[in-house]
Amino acid sequence: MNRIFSCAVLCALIFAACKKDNPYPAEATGGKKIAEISQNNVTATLWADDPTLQTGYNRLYVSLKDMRDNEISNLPVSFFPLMDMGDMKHSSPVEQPLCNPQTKKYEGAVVFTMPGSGMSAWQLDVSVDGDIFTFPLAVNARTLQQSGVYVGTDAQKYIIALVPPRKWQMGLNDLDLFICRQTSMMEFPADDGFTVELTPEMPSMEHGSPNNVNPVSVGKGHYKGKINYTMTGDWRLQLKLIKNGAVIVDGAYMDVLF
Amino acid sequence: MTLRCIAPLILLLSLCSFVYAQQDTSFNSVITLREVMVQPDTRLSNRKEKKQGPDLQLSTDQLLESIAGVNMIRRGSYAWEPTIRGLNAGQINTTISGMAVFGACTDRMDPASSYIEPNNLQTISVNYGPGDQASGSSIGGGFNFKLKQPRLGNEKKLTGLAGIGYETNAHALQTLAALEYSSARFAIRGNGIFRRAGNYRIGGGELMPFSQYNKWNGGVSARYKLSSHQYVQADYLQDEGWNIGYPALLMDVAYARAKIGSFSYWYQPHSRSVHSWETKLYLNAIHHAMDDTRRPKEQVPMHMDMPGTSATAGFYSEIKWNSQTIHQVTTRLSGYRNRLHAEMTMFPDGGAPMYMLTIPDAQRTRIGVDISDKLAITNRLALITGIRADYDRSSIYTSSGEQQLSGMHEGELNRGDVLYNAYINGKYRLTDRWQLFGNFARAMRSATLQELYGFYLFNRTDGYDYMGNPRLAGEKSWNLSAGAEFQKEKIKIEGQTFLYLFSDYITGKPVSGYSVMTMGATGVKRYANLSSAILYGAEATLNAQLLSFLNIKSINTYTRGEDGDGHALPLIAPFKTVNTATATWRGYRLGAESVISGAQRHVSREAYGETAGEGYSIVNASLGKTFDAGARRWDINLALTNIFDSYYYEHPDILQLPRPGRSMAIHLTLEF
Repeated sequence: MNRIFSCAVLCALIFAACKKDNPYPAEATGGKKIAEISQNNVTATLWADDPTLQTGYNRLYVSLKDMRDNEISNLPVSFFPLMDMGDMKHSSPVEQPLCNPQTKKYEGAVVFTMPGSGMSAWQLDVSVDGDIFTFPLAVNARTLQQSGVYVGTDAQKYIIALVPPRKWQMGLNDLDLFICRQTSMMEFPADDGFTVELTPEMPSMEHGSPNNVNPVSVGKGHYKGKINYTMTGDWRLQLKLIKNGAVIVDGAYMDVLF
Repeated sequence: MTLRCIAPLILLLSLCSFVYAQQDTSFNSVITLREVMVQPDTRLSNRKEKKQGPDLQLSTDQLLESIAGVNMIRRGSYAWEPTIRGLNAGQINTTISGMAVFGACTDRMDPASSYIEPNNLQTISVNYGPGDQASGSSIGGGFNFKLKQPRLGNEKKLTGLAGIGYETNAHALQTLAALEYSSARFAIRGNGIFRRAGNYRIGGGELMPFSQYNKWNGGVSARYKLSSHQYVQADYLQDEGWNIGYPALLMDVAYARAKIGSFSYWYQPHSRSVHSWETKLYLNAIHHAMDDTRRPKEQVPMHMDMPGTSATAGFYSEIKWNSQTIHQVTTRLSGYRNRLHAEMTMFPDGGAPMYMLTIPDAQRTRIGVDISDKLAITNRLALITGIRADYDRSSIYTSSGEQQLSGMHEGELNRGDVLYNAYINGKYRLTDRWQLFGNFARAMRSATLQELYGFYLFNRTDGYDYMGNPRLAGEKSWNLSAGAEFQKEKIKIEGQTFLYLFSDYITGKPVSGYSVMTMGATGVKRYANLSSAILYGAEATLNAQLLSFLNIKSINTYTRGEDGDGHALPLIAPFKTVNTATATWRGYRLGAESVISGAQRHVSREAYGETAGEGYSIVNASLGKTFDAGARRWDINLALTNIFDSYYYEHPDILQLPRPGRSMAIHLTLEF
């Protein structure tokens, strides 16, 4: 009988030897250097997740060093994006940076509402303790619509952007939307007053997916929910924004491909 | 299975060569290489039927269909799916020489029985419940396909067989061969078959498109005697089908490949306690891919690739104990791990490809103990009792599989189930002519991996996409059957009634809020437990040697099932009677067969999507002759099936797919 037992134990060992390793390594963020400027004994480096900036929501990171190459993490830093179209100028929604004590990078974000380069180009003014570092930026048009400017039924202009995740995958994903109101050419306050209805669909398949969770406001213009991708491919996230029982924006959508 | 899995197995194999093994004595040695034995419910009623020479040229599916209570679900010409009294898929077990083998296709296009050929087989045993030969917990019993064993010390060192066959309908062509070498210590046997067929014509002459198939199958078995008490055997079987049409389904099959290997060790000490001990280790891998590229464009709204794999590694160790009492005890420890992976990639016109896992890397690990006791209480009363306990661990083995299901099921996906099966079979000899028998069993099964974790699996019959449900309870049943046998000289009549009372019957229930995945599907169902279901019926067989040269045989079956909501159970064949007369004279065989099936009106469109089916009647005939020429024997067989070219289908056939019309087959077999 103990022979049988040892056989069983050996079989169990065989089975145990077949475990797969986790295929998803952790990804670094803000690892792509965009530009570097030195002035007044401070070197400011601008980083992003991708080597090129695109329309929509972009995480932007700034690291500061003094002349002795020491990292600076105790100065107040702010972002001010500006689009100069010659005859007119405007800014865009921004999330002001905070210093990440681990990476010593100031992490913020900008929603670029249009592409720009050459004659009508974006720049990012990074204010470091009142000292302005101006980074000229090239912003490409994103092939997928992941942000949009919508005029609501209350005649206000709203900007909705999809906060890109590290990675989309099949199954349930965290969904993060960033919603701002445009009050002037230069001011885009976050708007936390909406109820959001999310309906994902696959344009190629005429089907959606079950078990999604409508994004709800978590403050600072962010709305967090869940989206269930039953498969990879093209997805369109239909969004409806409701405030005080009235539909303010209908027919807004974000496109996802993975 | 990766190399990493195979390496420790080789280690294990070498270690186990120090483990004792046993001689298989469950079947006697009269079976030769040119026969396959079909044994329904062997130990109980001793019904068995030898299929000879020309029958090796039939398909496994045709052999199965000839067994009382077995009905086949057809989706085309190839890979019919067996049902036992209407029970199917996870309700019955299929093993090949005791090895668990699971098909890889999500649409049930490749039951394990499609990967073996009669040319590989020694016996097909059928169980109608959790009996003493069922390997594993099961509600409805199952099939064990025992591979042909090479014989040690055969009179002739070299024996062999070769055959060729042609069938007019579908222009089906096949060639087969087998060769066996036998010496006192070593024997080896190899066999191979090649089959191909075009589209068949249904009754009335219309061509059935996409009903073609191509396959080859080859097997090698070698046995070596280590000492007078022990020997080893290695078996390898490979089966490859390609370009196989499934006219009842939306897709065909590009390939269906199985590689099945095992290593066995027998120890036969004939001691006072252990009679024989057999230990087997096995591996099998099945690769299957659906294909829509041969279908006309209007049938394919979107091209898709749907491959699937099934890999199983397992073992069993069975001891037959000697006893000086009335007991004859067999114990068996068995276990396996099965992994299923199935995926789908869709290619929309102008859009990005879409990928999903339809079986998201699901695995089951089973370990089971089985004890059966055959008691000869008096010379009139015999009992077979047994219990079996299984532990099933079902889980998702990759993180991408878990991630795929994260949007569908909350909470723990992995689960463990303990299953108990117990049975008592009794046989009482009333008089010399009359014998009564009965069976009482408690049966349980785990939900299949498809039922637990399936992801939008399309069911062609009801038009629903099916979602798995990891919270499913196992299906349970009380099985009862009773029958009598009358035997007088050359007449044998046997009748049996049966009743299955199910609880937690597993079925699909429509869910709202889910959009369909398959284009044109009606909706989405999720597997759920139904509190109860009932299945009952009867089988009667008659076998009479009316004259010295004339034998008649009649098989009559009836089954009816209903679930707890009052819906007729699906895939239940109506009343069917098969009557055969065979005359043999001076090496000639003349056979005539009538198959009559009633209509099936007891169906549920609402719950299972079935429509009422018409009855049919067909007539078959055959003529054969065996010539002995020295050491060689030639056999020629001419078979005419569906003589009146009737349009017909069996009720379980998917979408009432019509079966072939008139056909003539000629089979030539040489044995030496």
